[in-house]
Amino acid sequence: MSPMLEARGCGLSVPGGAAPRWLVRGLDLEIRAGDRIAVLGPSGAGKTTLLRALTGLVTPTEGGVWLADRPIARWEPRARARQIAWLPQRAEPWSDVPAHEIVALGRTPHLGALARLGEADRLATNAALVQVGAETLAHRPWSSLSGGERQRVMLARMLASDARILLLDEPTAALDVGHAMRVMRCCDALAADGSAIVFATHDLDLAQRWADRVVCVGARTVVGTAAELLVPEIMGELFDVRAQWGRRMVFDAP
Amino acid sequence: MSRARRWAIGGGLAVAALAITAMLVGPGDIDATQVLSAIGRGLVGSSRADDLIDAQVWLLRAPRVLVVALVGAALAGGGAVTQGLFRNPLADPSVLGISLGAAFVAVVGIFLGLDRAGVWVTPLLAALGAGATLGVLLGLATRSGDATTLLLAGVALGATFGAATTCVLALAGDRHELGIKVLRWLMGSFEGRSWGHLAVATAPIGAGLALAVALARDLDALALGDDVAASLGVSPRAVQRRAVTAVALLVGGATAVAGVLGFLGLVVPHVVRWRLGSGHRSLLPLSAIVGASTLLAVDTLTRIAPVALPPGIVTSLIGAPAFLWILLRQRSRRPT
Amino acid sequence: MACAVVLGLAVACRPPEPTATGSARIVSQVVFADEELWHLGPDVRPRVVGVSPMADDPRYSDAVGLWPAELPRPTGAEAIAAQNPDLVVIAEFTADETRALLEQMGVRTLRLEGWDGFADVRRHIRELAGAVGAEAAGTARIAAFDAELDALRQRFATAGAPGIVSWEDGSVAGGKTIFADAAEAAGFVDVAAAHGIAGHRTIGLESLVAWDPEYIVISCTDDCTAREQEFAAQPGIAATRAGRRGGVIAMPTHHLYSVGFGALEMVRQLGERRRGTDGSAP
Repeated sequence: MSPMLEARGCGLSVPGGAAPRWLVRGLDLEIRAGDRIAVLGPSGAGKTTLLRALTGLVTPTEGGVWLADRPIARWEPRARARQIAWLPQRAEPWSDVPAHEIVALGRTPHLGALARLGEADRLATNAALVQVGAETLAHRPWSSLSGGERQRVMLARMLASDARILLLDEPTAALDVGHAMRVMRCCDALAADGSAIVFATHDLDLAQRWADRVVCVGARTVVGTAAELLVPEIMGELFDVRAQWGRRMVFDAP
Repeated sequence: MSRARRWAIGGGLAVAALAITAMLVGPGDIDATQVLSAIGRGLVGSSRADDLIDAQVWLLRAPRVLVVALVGAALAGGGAVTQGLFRNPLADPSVLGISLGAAFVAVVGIFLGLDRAGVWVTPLLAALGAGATLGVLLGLATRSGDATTLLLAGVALGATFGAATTCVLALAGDRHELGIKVLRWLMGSFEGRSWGHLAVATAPIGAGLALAVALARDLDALALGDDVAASLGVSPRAVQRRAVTAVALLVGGATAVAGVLGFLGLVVPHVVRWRLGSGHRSLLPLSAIVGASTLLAVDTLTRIAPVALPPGIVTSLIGAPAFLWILLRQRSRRPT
Repeated sequence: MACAVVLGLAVACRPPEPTATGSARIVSQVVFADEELWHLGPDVRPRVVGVSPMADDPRYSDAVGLWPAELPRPTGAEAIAAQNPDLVVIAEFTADETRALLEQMGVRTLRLEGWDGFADVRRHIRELAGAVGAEAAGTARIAAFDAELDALRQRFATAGAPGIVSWEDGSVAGGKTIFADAAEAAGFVDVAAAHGIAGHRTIGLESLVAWDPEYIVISCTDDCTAREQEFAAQPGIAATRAGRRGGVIAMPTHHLYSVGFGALEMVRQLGERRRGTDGSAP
């Protein structure tokens, strides 16, 4: 099975001082159906930039990103958007819209210029709301939603696109443990259904619990299985802390 | 039936009712039957330019009513597009100095006598002025991305164009007629608008409205910011280019034919969005409809008022307090 | 700074005391006074040390070419004060600050206010002549005005006065205006006045067309015939009696807006135009 999305020798840099500062270098990553991949690293290391590059929003400094064996930049934007959905860390509507209108934005790549929603679009929007357990929020205005509710609505927005490659930037950062759990379970179910999930996080628990593979973004870019990389030596180096195995409280959704 | 559709039908009926009222009322003793038969003669092309009733109904009232409706639709539609483009409810062609930019370029054209080259010159110049102002604002907005900067820049641009227009007027000094012509125009007026004016305004405003409605999906996509729009397959740059073109056509066309009319583009989309949500699919056409009916009501009032009121002053007099009221109402509703 | 210098100057050289025949140094800021000061005769003319810049504008003034070119045309308080006047004739639209400043410096001002008809023309001639100590010349001037007016009245007196409207881009002249008196003298009825409008007021084009006047007077500065034709062909106007029967009259602004003897020329032109278009002989 060929990868759905692939980074080949991908390098990402930002201009800085005399020479560019490399955030990611030499990344080879194959993303396939059912994958659950965590992008790990300290704040400011470049997780967001990597996700944006995988979404096609930024062009890598070197190497490239391929979507189904074609360079991502060569895809027609709407066709690309029907395959890849991206959940940014933060996005706010500028006017106070009801939640279902936000979710319906996920249908944009499927709509004509006049934005007329068809039956399929309505079904997908409703399904997405149900999937994140937000169907009761549908008609609530954005300003009346709590942080957790907003994140679920945004997640539903992403799911409504029916894309099979889902790139989530810190999807649980704003959520309490219960809501975070529900979001991640939802991702799990999607992966089981054949979607590919890539999520950026600095939360080791989250990675350990929900990822099969891990991309470490830090001083070096490392790719490996969760079992290989989520060990004290590597995580200690990545986050510049002393790490050791220990006992901790474990949560699970009821 | 959806709320948007009910609004569209209600708005359409309101436009029709107001247009009929506007045709029926006015100076002179013309009863409804005479009005209808004059309209009938006009429609079949047998209207006489030297018949007093035909002239009043078909040559003065009818084109004026249509110009008013068209300009109302253009300004409200242009306001809706501008707000969606800048993601800011305070963005409005008159607040951001776009109308004054259009007026300035058109006034320079009149001053230089360019308008004598053809009826299309003033709309073209006004559209260029609107487009250029919008372009500058967009450049500033993308560089700073900050709503306050944008609004202040708009206010500054408006003041600059206002001053520049006054400067042109001062240069025109002893050309008294020109000065009066320009001043009347800056106050906004529908006096004596004829079929010729309607013909001139229809092309740019029609094209602008079509372009605006076709921007519905892409303006929606901008709701969560440029990046999300791009991830949804909508290029923010392409949307900006098309939105600037649409607003230039709408505001340019409206300003060329009616002068500067404030606040309509601010208040109308705001009210529609507030009552109906912000999906541009319904927001754009409904803003146009509500804009048309609002301006029709305003113009009919000014026509039957015992004193001559420039409609631009009336829209501002009604619009500004209405806007404040909406603002306060919204703020008080916001959860703490 | 400059103002202070002028003020100092004004204080340093106090205006000469008015002579028995009235003011010694007169400055006019109004076209009407520019015209009348000249016609008040050789006794008054040498005492005029400044006229308004509009005096030379053929669009508004009947005094073009009368005053020597080297006579100052001051505008603004500073320039006026520099002429060291003892009487300044100011207009209704002259800034109150200018007037206050002049009066502070001990300069007498004469404000010509209210132009509600021919009676005001007489009143203003009398006031002006009185202020410059030329009462006899003023009386003669008024008599000349009335004589010419009476002659015109008699010439144009007919039964069945047609309706006329003065229209300037929406503004009409109703009752209590010089135009209303001129129209009446030329044998017309001022339609705006008949509709209860007093003074100058803005009305809609629709109202003008609904009034359907037999004559419409518009202003022109050059190429009056073209203005007439263009206006008469305008939608709406073309359907009025004025539009259909050649009743659109484009009149040069210095007659139409004159508040002095020029108004008599307006009467003459209006009257002659009527005789020309409706064929009624005097």
